[in-house]
Amino acid sequence: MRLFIEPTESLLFRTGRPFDAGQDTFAESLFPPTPETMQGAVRATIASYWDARKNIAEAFNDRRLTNRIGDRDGYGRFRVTGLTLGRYARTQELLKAKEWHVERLFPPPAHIMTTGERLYRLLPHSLEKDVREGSKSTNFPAGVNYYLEPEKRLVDELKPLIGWLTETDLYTTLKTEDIDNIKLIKKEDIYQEEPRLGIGIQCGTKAAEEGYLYQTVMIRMNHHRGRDFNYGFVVDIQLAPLSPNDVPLNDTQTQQELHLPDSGWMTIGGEQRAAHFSVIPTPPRQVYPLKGDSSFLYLATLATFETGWKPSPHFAPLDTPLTAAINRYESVGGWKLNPDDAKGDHKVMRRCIPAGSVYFYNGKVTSPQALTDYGMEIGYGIIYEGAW
Amino acid sequence: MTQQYMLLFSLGPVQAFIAQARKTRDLWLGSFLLSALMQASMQNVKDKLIFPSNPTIDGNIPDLPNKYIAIFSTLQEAEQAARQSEDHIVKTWKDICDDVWNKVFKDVRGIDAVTHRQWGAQINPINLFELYWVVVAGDDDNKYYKDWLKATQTLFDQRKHLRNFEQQLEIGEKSTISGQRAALRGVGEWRTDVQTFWYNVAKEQRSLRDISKDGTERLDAVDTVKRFAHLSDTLAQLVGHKNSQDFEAGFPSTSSIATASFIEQLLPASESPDVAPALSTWLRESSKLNEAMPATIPLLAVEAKKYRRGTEIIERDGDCYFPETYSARRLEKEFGFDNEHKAEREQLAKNGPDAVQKLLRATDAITSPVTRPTPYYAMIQMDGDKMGRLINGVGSRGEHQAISRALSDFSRKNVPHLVEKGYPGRLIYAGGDDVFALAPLGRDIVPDDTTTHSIKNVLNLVYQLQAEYHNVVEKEVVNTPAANSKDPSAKSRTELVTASTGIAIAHHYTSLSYVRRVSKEAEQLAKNSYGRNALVVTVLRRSGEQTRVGCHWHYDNLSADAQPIELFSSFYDLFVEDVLSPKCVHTLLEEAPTLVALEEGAQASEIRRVLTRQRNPMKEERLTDDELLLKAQHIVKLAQAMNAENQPDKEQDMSVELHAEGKRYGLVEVLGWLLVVLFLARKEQE
Repeated sequence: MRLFIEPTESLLFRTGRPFDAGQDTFAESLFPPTPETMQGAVRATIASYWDARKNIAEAFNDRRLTNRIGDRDGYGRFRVTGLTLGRYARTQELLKAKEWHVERLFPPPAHIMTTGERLYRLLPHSLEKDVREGSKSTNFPAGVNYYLEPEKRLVDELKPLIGWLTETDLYTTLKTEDIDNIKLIKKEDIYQEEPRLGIGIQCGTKAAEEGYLYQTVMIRMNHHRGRDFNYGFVVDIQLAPLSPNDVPLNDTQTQQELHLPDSGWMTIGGEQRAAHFSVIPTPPRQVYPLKGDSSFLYLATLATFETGWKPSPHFAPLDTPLTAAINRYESVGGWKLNPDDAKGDHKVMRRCIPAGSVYFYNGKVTSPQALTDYGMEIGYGIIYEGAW
Repeated sequence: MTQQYMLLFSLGPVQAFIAQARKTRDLWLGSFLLSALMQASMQNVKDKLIFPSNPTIDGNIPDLPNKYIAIFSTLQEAEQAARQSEDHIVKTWKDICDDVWNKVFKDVRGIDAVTHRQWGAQINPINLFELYWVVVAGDDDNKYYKDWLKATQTLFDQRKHLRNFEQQLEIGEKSTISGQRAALRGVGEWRTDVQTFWYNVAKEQRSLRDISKDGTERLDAVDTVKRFAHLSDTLAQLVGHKNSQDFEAGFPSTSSIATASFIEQLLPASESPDVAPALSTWLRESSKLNEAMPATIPLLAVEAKKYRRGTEIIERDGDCYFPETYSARRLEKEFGFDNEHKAEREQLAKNGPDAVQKLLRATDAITSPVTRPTPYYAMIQMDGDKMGRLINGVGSRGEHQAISRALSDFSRKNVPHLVEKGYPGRLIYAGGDDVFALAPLGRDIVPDDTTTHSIKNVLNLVYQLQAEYHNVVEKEVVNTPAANSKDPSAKSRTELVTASTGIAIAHHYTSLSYVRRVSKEAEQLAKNSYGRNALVVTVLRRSGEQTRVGCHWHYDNLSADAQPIELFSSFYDLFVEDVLSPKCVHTLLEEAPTLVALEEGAQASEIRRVLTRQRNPMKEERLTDDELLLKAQHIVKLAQAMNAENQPDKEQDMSVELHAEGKRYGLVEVLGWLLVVLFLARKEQE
């Protein structure tokens, strides 16, 4: 079942830094939100629609619900199988071109880089001969003997590609096709930051509280007037079969099992900002023929491994990539809410491989359902296979 | 042919390490630590170095780049040097951490095995630093030096495509600074326990400046090392001091930077008999805050010596000039006036603001009134453009070394001379082509001394910085024509010696990490959106409203008076001198959507009309009709020059709104600049 979530207010996806009234007076927002945030928002939405007679805390006392979506300590049968940004065309011109549909947006693979004017695809090259001959040496991590080099001759410095790609363009990067026509969707098209100044209010008197001035930098999506597209989040949800022999539920069955209407309202992120969700059809996953002799795995979402940057040994042979394109790690934690009150606990903070990272392998590999040691139920470690 | 081996070694992460800061001193000490570690890394390769030319920190300005290049006779030597550099960094870092632990936690109640475990894991260099190095063999012959250097740089970039890291789990309450690591704690896990732990830590510290007294600042190990690194004898000795007591660790707060211009005027005014009584009262009341610190703004330190009460004045933090500092809540939270000192707190909450008001009224009333202090300051980040291309184009080892020396000279001589001697600013970092500094918005006293630069405001300051960068480095660059002579935009090597600058102007209470991010983004915008050799300024108003403007330093085919900084500076003077009313800018911005559609002559005519209406009738001789027309024409010419940089087919995408993202019409951009200049002239304060 696919949900399209369209924010109607500015959003706050908090970092790990504490933000407490009267103590820490500044909070800024991450973007995009982490899988922790999105799963929390979706599960809370399911709980709020579960039974009109119950509030969320009461709904979580219903074992029929917790069997399906879990509780504070687990995820039940709830699985996030896709987590991306999405957009749909607003202008008549674009609508004429194709039927209304939500197009998913992905972080660019880290092995696609830019000089600012042109895109370059980086591919593995062996360093072994140079090392053997004593002409080059470097402190690559143990076991890595390949470096990444542009396919074409380079005349300028390369920089990471910052923005998002449409699903079609992503598939182009996964194949061995020409990438010259790929169009990057910039963050300015999707959102802008919105600094806000606020003041704490005393509960009893409703008067401003002295010393409780705070500042937040929020995210405003769909800020352009006359824009071509509206942007939001796309979340794919499945309920795991009760036993391995069971046939997975289709979208309609999943929606019925979760008592979720076709559309409705939800809250998302810090300060419980409003968003509208719609259940939309899930197109079949595109099959794209891969012509290369070897595989690479592209991470569409964050992943985390006990071993750090490299997949853990239980993913063998995926734990021995030739090399990888990985930008700096992201520390992700989160907040474990208590549905009975506004309190909760800090979750464990982990270092995560950023979305867009790419692992290169020698020969073909079989990709697992998810490549992560943590959070595969909630959208960590979603991978796509590519060829080189 | 002589086979030699080029080593390129780097220490990171720079931005992430420095960015986690709550106080300006955290920023500075973070930079200082990285420079100190780089100094340690180079101790065994001094005679092999190509870049930087000088591997030791000069004074208290962190000025070493985060990478070095050295040449060795054998591969083994080069690899051994790289590993020794790693070892030196690890050892120095551990020694500094040990010093900090012993000075900060030795006598603290509540230290537990948990604290030791957290500390050990978080300061572990493997978990913290990114040390990358590459060695490439090459021919020492000058003919091949360029290719050799390029091959080394290329392999280094390839090494950085894989930013490997170790996993590190952080459990429990997070640091209030980094938000990425758990705050150090004792045995208790709850927030109140962690707060109590830090309350106990704060109790053992001598200075109120080091850490919040009430436990609301809860730091992880790395934050702690950055906050207290000035207590480390290892660090002090590394930069030539006997021990940490000799290390001048004072660094001005954002408030002190914001008020520096006011203080510069207050110093001479302090001699006036009309100001002296109010000044005495204010000095007495502000001394109760126990905020005295050594002089931290070099220019003011020099000036203060000329006046009887100068030293007392500059020992006060800038906060002391704002009445809200004396609120009972802040006195309790930040200045240690707990309930045991309730009576003193209440007295100071009453007398403090009165003393400030009396001082400001007194300085308003003298013959040369002192401009009241502004709560806004500027954070500056400058970076050389296309350094990779410039360095990769060197024709010989000699040229490479000459450019290294020029970069070193620029950062060690020119930059401090401008930022700290010619202006009441303070450097956080100045290494090679990188400058990171804090500065007040404007300066109301321009010294008569012709040997000192007449830098009136932060725009003049950054303009001079980039100009001197160009002059110093260009001399050492061997010029070659543009690679592609058919491309009119192709540049020769000397034309590549340019710099881009980002400035964030922020309220002194705005989160420092946010201001740093915005200033860095401004620098990146100058490079990527404004096409380098450019300046971008972002004003972060306390209300949340932002204004962002940008331009090149120079436009071809414009007269000197119409060049951006020259033109904006002339408007700055007109606003400061009350020749023009601020209303002219707002009126023109309202008219901008219509104005952009008019032809050039009509635009100039309307701009002239608005400026004339908003000209102070008492000061018409300061801005005659002819001059006014010329100003209007300059505005239009500059706007056209900005428009010309946008491709004609993109014109429909250009915005008439100042606060729109993306490209705007040149006229909107220029009027936006006037709004920023108005802000610098402090005619538009909240």
